[in-house]
Amino acid sequence: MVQKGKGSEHVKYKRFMRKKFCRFCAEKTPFIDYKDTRTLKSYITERGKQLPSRMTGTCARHQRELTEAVKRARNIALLSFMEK
Amino acid sequence: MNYYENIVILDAALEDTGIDAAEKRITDLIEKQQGEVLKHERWGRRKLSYEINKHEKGYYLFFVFKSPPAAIKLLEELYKVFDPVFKFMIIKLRKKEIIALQNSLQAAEAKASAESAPETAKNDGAKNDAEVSAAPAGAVE
Repeated sequence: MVQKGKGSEHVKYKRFMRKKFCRFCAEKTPFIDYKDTRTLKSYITERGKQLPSRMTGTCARHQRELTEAVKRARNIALLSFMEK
Repeated sequence: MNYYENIVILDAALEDTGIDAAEKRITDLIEKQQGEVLKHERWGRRKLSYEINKHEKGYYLFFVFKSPPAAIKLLEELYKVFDPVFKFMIIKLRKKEIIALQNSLQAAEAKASAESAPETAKNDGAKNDAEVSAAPAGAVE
């Protein structure tokens, strides 16, 4: 009970945020393509680092697939390891 | 037999004849190993995201092929000694990717047959239909 009260208080101070969701789950993409750099670019920072799932809302499974795709794209110079 | 996807980056300074020769050499090797090239694309000269062996640009070749696993080792050995190639990546396709590939191949076949059909048909209406159906497929690529 105490915990529940704490939680609702916490929510009061929190700003309104739209709920994040996994885009790959919503679109039911069969797999994440490493050649599709336009999609991958929305999941990396300007510097070229991958964004955490807590920021993008990607589910754990797709985050793993995304990681693999980003690494493959970097390997073949479609994405950079680091933007200067 | 496994499905593989292969990207090769060639020297951008290479002339078209050199690219043709390189492409032929790769496809020949695959076919010699009882493999089959299902799809090959030329992405052309592109700027690399980072410098590789002092190269700023590269000519991208993209292959999808079916072959026994032994062919991959030979292919890698070829790339290591083949001068125009300075970077390559071979990836084994998973189940879902294979399904998507087969669907796209079927779609391409259907498109090819649809394009050949209006040539025999005399009315203009059929031609227009074919153009409309061809447009979205091109956009996907």
